[in-house]
Amino acid sequence: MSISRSSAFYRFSLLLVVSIAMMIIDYRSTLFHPLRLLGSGLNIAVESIIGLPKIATETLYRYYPDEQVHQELARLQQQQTILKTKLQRYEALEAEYRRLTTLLAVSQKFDQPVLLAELIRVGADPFSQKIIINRGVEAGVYVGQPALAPQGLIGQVSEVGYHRSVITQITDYSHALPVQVLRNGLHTIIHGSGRADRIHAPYLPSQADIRPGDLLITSGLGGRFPAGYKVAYITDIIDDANQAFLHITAETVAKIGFISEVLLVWGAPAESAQSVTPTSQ
Amino acid sequence: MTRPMSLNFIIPLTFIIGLGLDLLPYPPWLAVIKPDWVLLILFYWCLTEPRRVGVGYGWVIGLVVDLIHYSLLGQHALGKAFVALVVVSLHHQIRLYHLWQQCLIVFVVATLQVGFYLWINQLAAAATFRITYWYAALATCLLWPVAYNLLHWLRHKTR
Repeated sequence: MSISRSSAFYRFSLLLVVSIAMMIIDYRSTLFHPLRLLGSGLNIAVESIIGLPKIATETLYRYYPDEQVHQELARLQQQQTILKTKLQRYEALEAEYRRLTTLLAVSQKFDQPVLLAELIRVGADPFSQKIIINRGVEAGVYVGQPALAPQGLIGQVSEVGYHRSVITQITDYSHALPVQVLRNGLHTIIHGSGRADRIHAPYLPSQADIRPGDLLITSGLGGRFPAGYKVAYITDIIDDANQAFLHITAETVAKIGFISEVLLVWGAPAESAQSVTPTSQ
Repeated sequence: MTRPMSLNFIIPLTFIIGLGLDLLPYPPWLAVIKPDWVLLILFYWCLTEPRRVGVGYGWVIGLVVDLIHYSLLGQHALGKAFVALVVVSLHHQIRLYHLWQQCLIVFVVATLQVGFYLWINQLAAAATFRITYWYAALATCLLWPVAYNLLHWLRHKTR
């Protein structure tokens, strides 16, 4: 055999250096973003090969006699998703008024433009909580855009491709989010746990007024997410006397296993891309 | 002369199938134990055709995996290059082993790979170890006999 071990080692050490350099560049800069667009193209190619049977049956189904009924149904279902998502905020607002806290810094607009996107798949990487949707630059999606489900907040867009975007869920390790307890307005920050549908609230002292079942909503602080969307219900509170803070676990309101459509909102003030007119078809 | 031609076609094809299997939508409980299909296929070709499929090949395949999974560019590339390095440099020995002994090698390689990915993710996003990450390595090694026989059959079809 002519393949010598040393040549394989030589090649590997060369690629080791190249890979580490690539990872650092990719982590620190946006240099490889054009390559990412290629990635979404690759994704679409592989997905369409796998999805061929599904596409075939769907196409057949579309030519079924009562096409109009199907269209109407699809339209109404989409409308339902949009309306349900919007309704969440009214609920939150009602509670707000009940407590007579009218000192809200942000003026809340209720007719925000929205974009309906389909969930393509859940990220395959076990170390991150990400989902991939079927809208990208062509629809005006931008990095940092809040993503919602009819039940509650999902996360934010972290990468934008062509006809594909990656959403980092609030359950991802790297994700933190300012929230408020709906019952009493208590502010805190939650962190992703790295597990599906689970988050942690690590910064509440043991005397904090919080109990299992409390609903957390987005507080709007930080300016990235609009205020008033449902985030999670508190499930576990462990009070360890040796620790300064409570160990709080919460379960997200929007369960990733039950989501098929995602709503992207143009929520953030100031720097948001208001000029882009989203299509909610 | 026909055999090298068809192998040139068959090897990329198996990798495309592997990537397809990787992208299939899995239910959450199955996603936890989803085997690393690409690793199995790479392991097989490095073992049987070490002159064609080596470190460079593995690196390129890993780069495609990176692009498809939107992960840190270079992460899977390095992981797969490492797998290729181990298999190519030890292919004489591994070939002599029983299938179940080879399973053990697959397991060790897959575990090292998971450890490496975890390491990268700890640096980039503060991930912590969870035993479930390791289930995928277990599933991968258990599927080695199936993958081996399937790919073996495919390779001898092209003869």
